[in-house]
Amino acid sequence: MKRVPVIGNSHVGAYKLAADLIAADHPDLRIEYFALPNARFYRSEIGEDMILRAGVQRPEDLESVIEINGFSEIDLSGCDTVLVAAQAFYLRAFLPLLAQFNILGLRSAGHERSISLAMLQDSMERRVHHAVERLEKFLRSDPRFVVVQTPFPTREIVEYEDDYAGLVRQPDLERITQFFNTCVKTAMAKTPLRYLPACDSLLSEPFFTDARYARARALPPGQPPNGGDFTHMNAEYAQAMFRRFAERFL
Amino acid sequence: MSAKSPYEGLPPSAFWRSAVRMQDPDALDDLYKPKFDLTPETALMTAGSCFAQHMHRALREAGWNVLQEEGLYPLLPERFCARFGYDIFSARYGNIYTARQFRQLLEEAFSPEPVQAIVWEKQSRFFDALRPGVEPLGLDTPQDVTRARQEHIAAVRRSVEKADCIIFTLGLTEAWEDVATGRILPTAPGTVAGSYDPARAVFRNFGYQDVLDDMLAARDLLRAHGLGARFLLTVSPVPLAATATGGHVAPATIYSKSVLRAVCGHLQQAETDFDYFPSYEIISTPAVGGPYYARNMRDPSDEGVRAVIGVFSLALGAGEGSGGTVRHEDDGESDLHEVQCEEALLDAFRK
Repeated sequence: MKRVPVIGNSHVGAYKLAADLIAADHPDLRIEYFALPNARFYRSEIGEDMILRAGVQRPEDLESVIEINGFSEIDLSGCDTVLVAAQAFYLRAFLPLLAQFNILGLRSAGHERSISLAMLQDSMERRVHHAVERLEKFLRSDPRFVVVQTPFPTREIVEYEDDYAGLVRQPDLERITQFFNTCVKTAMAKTPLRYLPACDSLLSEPFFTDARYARARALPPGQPPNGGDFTHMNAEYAQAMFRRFAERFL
Repeated sequence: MSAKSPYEGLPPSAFWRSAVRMQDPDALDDLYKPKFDLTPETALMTAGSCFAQHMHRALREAGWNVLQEEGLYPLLPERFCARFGYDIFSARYGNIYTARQFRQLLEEAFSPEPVQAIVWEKQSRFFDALRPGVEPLGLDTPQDVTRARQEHIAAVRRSVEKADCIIFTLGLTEAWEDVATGRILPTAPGTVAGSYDPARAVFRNFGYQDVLDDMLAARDLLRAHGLGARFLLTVSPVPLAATATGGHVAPATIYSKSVLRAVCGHLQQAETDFDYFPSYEIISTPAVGGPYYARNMRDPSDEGVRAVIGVFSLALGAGEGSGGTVRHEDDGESDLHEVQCEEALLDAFRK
């Protein structure tokens, strides 16, 4: 039975929720899950022995890793393919700019201040390049890793976060998103790592995942959602992404 | 009765031997005696030649209240901001090398009508000729240049209106004038963008009276608009990169610096709202253990910049590093949802 680890940050949660669905889709696979909150994941280390050990600074952090996973490290040796969920490539870092400024070179969003499209693109290219460089180092330039793009949020996020509320004022959001996605694709293509972007078929519009995939939709009755419930997806989304992953990489 | 020497009884700071060669600490106290009080709360506007960028950053890091009306930090890491002219001065004017350029900028900021931008073109990209370096990749259209300039001029005006003190670093006397408009350009056409046409841009080398008149005109313009900002002048210790006088760059540099220094000296002595801070002397002479130049023999060394700010803070009783912050680069992967993420994981993994 082929062993496929799914490792990463909080977005592994959706895959874990979809574990039964994924197992039903792929009975020939033995899928293992190992997740750490975002910052801790990228503070972790994959050793030469291909063991991913949780990066923790305090004993209580280790306890929380064990609480989540049941263990604090995972052996990735002997696997042909590892799914890494998920990498945002610094996209969030651009949201305040896109929310607060017009982009000279694109249609006005009605703000008082502007930045140039050239600057936005130059900054995106440089930051994405930096993110990919770090990622490649973290993943030891190993082609067994398939990096999955962080899901785009669902539209409801604008009710919870000002940056997204400002972002939707950009009339040319589609062009900006396309440029960002091209930056990521180009930078990832220069590495030995493999890359799976968010599927267009799961989006409802440029930059937004279809609302039905939000984790908020899966909350227990009476539990009010928060912003994170619209940036994290549900089992259905993860199942669709895993299918795409399996088609392309397994 | 024998007359005493007029030098007898002067403090150690008056003598090169004690003040410079022996580095008497008491002499250091006299290197800069501020004419007007500045406190860490005083709103400082910075502008000038490239040395002014060092001043801006060092003052900010030392905790001074340095105005920023057109910045992007912390929305972008500082290195990206600087590449596009953001956060290196109080507004995004780029380097202002000459007093005339500064005066013209203020005139534009207070002009009742918008002043038409001077647009340069290079490979189908368009540049603001009065600050071509702030968009190194240019803009798509001349209209974009105009729009960006209007926003910039509004930021300049806001900055001037908020400023209690303008720290202006004079850099050069040499400049190029756009013949059609009479405006002074920060770089020669064809250097960053545009192309050199002797009929459209002429060389100017300002003299003492020109520089003096420009600084006074700048001051008078503020006063005419009811603004009380005082001027703290410095002279950039950075030599000319090149001279267009036809002569050697070394004497051309000394000419420029001498004219600028002389104007500062006069303004400091004759005008109540001008003072001079001797960063030029600190970097380029042994006055405070220097000279402090980097290995390229042109840029000030980091140690020199620290010495400048040290003297500045010491003289004003603010203390170097009082309350300032060195900016740390955000790695861009914010942890906004860190707690929520943990909850999400726990929920998912418990099922």
